[in-house]
Amino acid sequence: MTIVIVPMVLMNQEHLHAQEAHIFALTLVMFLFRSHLLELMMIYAVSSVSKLVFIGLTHVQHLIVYILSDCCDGSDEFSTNVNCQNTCDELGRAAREETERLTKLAREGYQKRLEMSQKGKEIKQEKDLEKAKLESERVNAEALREAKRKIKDEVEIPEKEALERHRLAQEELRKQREEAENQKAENEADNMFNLLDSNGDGKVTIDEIKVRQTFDRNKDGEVSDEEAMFFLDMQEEMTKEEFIGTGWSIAKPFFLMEQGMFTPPEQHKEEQDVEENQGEETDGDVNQDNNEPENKEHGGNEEQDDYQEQGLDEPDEEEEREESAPAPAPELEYDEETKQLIDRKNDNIYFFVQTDTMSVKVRTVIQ
Amino acid sequence: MTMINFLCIDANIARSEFNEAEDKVRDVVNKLQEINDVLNLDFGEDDRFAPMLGQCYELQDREYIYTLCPFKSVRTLSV
Repeated sequence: MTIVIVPMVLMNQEHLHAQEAHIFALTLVMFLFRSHLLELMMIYAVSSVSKLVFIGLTHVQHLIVYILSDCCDGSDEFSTNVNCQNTCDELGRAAREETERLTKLAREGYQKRLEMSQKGKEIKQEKDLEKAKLESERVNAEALREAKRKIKDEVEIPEKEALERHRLAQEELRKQREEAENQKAENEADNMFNLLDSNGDGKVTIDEIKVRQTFDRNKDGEVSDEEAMFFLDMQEEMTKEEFIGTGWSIAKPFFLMEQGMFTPPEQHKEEQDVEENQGEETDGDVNQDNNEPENKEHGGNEEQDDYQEQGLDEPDEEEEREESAPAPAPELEYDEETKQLIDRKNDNIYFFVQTDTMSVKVRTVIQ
Repeated sequence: MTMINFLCIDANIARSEFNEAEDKVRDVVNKLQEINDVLNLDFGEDDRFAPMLGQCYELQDREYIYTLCPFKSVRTLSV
């Protein structure tokens, strides 16, 4: 064990970095123990400088204290002649082994790095090749796409025209149908006018309206002047044009209601019966005394009232039916096919095959 | 009508072929993009970390498993 105390005065500590100071101190130590210079150098070689420092600058002012674990037993002082036993080899073994291990590790690591670098370069090369290949593939694919686009655009022009023509034709047909329907409605109004205009003077008057039970809006069994005027759009009388324009649209629901009264569908009749029964039962529970005679007296009327009340529901259904009934019947012949046309825009190749065979069939049939 | 039908079939075939060609272009462009992404990665000098691409390494430390997939992701999972 050797303790070396180096006064800081010996070192120009202001200019020296701590690390450099240590090295300076160590050099001093080496100088002082030059008889063991070799051993010291070995220690220096196997250990870092800091390992030699036991007490640093901060602990003892102006002094650097080194505690050296050297090979000697304390007999290696200046003026003694005792031979120092050399134990450096032994003391340094662990450090040497550690160094050897680290060196080996570093060497292996370096080998590994070379291997990986080699592999990495191969991978990059591979990717570069692939990239070049894909670039050329891309050029080809784009050229092909442009060619196909051109073909497609060319073929799409006549198709578009054909579809447009078809659409126009369909619209035309729709218009015709609408006109026919309007015509039909007008005829209906015309017929009704002729029916109402009982004296045939070309005018429908309040008196002519009052004859019709259909226009009894409040169901009191009588058509009042007000009720009649309501149907004449608050006028005394109505010409044919006025009737077709406004009168009929007011009167129509009541005619339909009347029709509904006399031709209710079977199913509804049953339902009505059930409802009536239920209504009567509940009525009976509430006003048993009052209701029974009334029922007998106005039995017929009540039933009629019921019918008329339910008749209010009827025209809606009737109208719905009228609206929906003619729709599917006179559709365009190739409506289905137009749908297919639009569907086929989705471009399902299997669908093509199907339609293709279909069209072949059609062609043979035509021929 | 059959006229329209035939026109449509022609147009549909052209369209599907065009779409096919377009898909092909898209496919190639995507692949190219992928390769470029890889080539633009920094694998260190000598490209020595390139072989680690696509690999994953795991380390278990007490209750956690750390998974490192270089150039991609790092994850910590509880055991």
